[in-house]
Amino acid sequence: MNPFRLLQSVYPHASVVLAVLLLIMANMIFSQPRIQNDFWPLIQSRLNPDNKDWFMRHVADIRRESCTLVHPVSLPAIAFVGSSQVRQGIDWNLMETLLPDYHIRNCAVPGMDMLRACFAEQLLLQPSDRVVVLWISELDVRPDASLGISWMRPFATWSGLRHSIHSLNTKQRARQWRNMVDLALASTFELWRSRDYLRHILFHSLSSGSTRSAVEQSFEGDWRKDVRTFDIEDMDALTAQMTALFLFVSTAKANGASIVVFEGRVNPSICTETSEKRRSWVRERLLAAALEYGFDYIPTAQQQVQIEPADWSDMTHFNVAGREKMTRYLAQFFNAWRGRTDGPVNTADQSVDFMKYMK
Amino acid sequence: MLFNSLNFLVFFLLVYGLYLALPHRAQNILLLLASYFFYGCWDWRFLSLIAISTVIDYWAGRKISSTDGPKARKFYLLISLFSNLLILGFFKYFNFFVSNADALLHFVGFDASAWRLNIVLPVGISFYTFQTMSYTIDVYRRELNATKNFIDFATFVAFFPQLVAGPIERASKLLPQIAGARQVSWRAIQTGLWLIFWGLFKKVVIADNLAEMVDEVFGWHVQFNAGTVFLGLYAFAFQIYCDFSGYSDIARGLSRCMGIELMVNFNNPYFAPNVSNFWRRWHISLSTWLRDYLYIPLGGNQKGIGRTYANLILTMLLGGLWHGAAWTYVVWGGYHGVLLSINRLFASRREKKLVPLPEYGWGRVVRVIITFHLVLIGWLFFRAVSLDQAFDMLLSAIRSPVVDPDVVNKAIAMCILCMPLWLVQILQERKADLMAVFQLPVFARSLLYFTLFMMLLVFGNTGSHQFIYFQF
Repeated sequence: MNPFRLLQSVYPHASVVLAVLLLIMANMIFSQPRIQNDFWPLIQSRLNPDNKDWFMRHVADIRRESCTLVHPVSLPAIAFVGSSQVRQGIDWNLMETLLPDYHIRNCAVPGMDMLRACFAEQLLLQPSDRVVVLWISELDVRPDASLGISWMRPFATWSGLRHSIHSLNTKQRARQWRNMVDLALASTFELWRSRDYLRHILFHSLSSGSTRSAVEQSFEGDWRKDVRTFDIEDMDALTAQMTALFLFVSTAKANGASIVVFEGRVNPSICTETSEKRRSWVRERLLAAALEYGFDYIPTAQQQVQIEPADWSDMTHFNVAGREKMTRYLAQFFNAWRGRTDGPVNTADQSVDFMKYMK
Repeated sequence: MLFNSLNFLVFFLLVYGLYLALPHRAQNILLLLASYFFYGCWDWRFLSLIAISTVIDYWAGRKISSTDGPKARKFYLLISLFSNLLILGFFKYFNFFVSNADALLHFVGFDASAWRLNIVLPVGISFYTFQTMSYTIDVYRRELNATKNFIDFATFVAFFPQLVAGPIERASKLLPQIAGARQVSWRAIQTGLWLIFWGLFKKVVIADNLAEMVDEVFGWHVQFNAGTVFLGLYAFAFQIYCDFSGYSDIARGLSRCMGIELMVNFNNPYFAPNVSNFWRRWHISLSTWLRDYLYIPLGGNQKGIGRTYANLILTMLLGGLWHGAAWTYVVWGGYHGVLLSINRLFASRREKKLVPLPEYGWGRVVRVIITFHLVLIGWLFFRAVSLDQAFDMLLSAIRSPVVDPDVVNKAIAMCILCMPLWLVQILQERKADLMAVFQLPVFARSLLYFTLFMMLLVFGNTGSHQFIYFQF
């Protein structure tokens, strides 16, 4: 007897069950490291050559690295986490030359804020990370606690989602229940997590396109919103951002890494009274948390580097000269740091009450 | 609240749970409240229009039914028609007529632009006004008894699955189902779920993805050439079909799960071998409405050849205008009127000469392809922002026979997205059964479900695009 007919007679809805099983199987196959290793380069080859698809390119880099440890494991790694300010603020080749005893990991993704860093922690951080460097200006603690789907989906994991939800208050959670459902689905199904990229392949089956991808276009609204809401103080959102930062630090420390937080710099020409207020608000909380929580916080006043107005290429990013200055300073800092990291890593106090820093 | 949103899922699950638990009369009250809530989510102010339309038509129906005098009956019918057409005309066509009158008066030195008003078009107004008008007309024609139950009638007008984009149901079919007790069988739920799933696939995977290609072309974001024009046209043909038929499928599926059967609104229209057949398969609820309440009262084909063609063209012109207050829709309607007339002319000549056209095999395939492309030209006028754009695109396609690599990429994507649709429709055509999927062997059906699930998961557009027909 035909086994499928037998199945049908035994269970009349066998076709639905079989389809769901096939779907689970397809998801499992797609999640395999071998398939993932082939998939992300496939994306990279289909991205716009003139850097219009910048976000997808960075995601593809990070996702690819997370499934293939391409660096020599024997070297301790320094992971630089932050937004485009970090990505474009460091000369990565120079940094590798100046710090030959470390593997330099560029984990900066444009548009990253603390909530997003906390969400993406599982894919950003690796066990080989000896030092995790954060670069936090008032722009990285945005007065916005939305779970941006286009940004977050490719980094979705259950622990990241749990931490992000934990950072939000009840009102913020209720407002974003749809995004949470989406991200929960992404944390469960690799096919959903990579869907924007699979769609990119669908629409660029033969070659990279001349137009911007849908994912990149979805950020346009984000940046506009950023500019628009720059001066709006939303304490609930700022609190969520800071809570997320502390959770991220906690995870990194649990992995055995030391944390160094540099106060990020912003072109003085865009500073306003509100942004200055927020800057000091962030600084005060980080100084207090650093002392008790055991991470290093380096405010701009203590950074031994002179950044001039001519070192900026735009409102938030360094130009070549500024980039070189900052890279040399960071390399010098970590060469001095080396002796300290050879000792035992401070992993104490994982149960810090984050909320006390928010008062 | 869109069918393809999580909000609607939560809304429907709550309503459905309650619906199954309640007795029949309470079910109708629930359906009415849920329908008003559903509509109010767009703009609660326009609920008043539905309420006005409902009250007037209920009253007119009762009056027509209880009066024997032909003049009085006609008077009440006219009140119903006038009030419905007044609401529709004001909200949908006022600015169109004012701007055209302004353009005409401009030649003789008058300025009527101040008459233009900032009017928001209420969602689905054309659908529910046509539905309620059919009720009073049927009561007037003594084809239907006026209902005495106001809740039943209000539910018939506002029934949420088909309120904003049809099918335009006939009172004779839907009212008895609302008035009578309903049974929800397991088979109905099973086929209802398939319709919802299939409709969602058509909307989210095909229509919404093709919408991005179409908007790029018709939004003047690309250089017009043969490649972009044809890509835009083919993509729009499948976008509008999948968008609208997807909505109808979901509406039918939701209703079926509640024990209510709505009419089939689409029957694989792109498989039509001629334009006349196309209109028996496309937006069936509107084309039969126009046939029964406009074409036949105008005289249909009973008053000579010339009058038949004139009736056809007039009906299609008004059908075009029903879609929107713009000359592009009028041209589209007129174009189909002319095609129908030509089709009728050839059909009657063939009948005289006793030369039948091939109904099967390659002959039919060729006829289907020709009909599809005739319809495609019509879609150009339907979708174009203006008549200028439509002619510009037509000329560009001829003058500049270039195909960009981007267009090839998108054409491949379009074929991949539409492949399941084509396969299922071929099966439906061959078996002459819209539920032919249930005739497939279990493994083939599993593969189909798997493909649809997979494409929904991976390629489904989560942008929550509105359904195109909401604007009509």
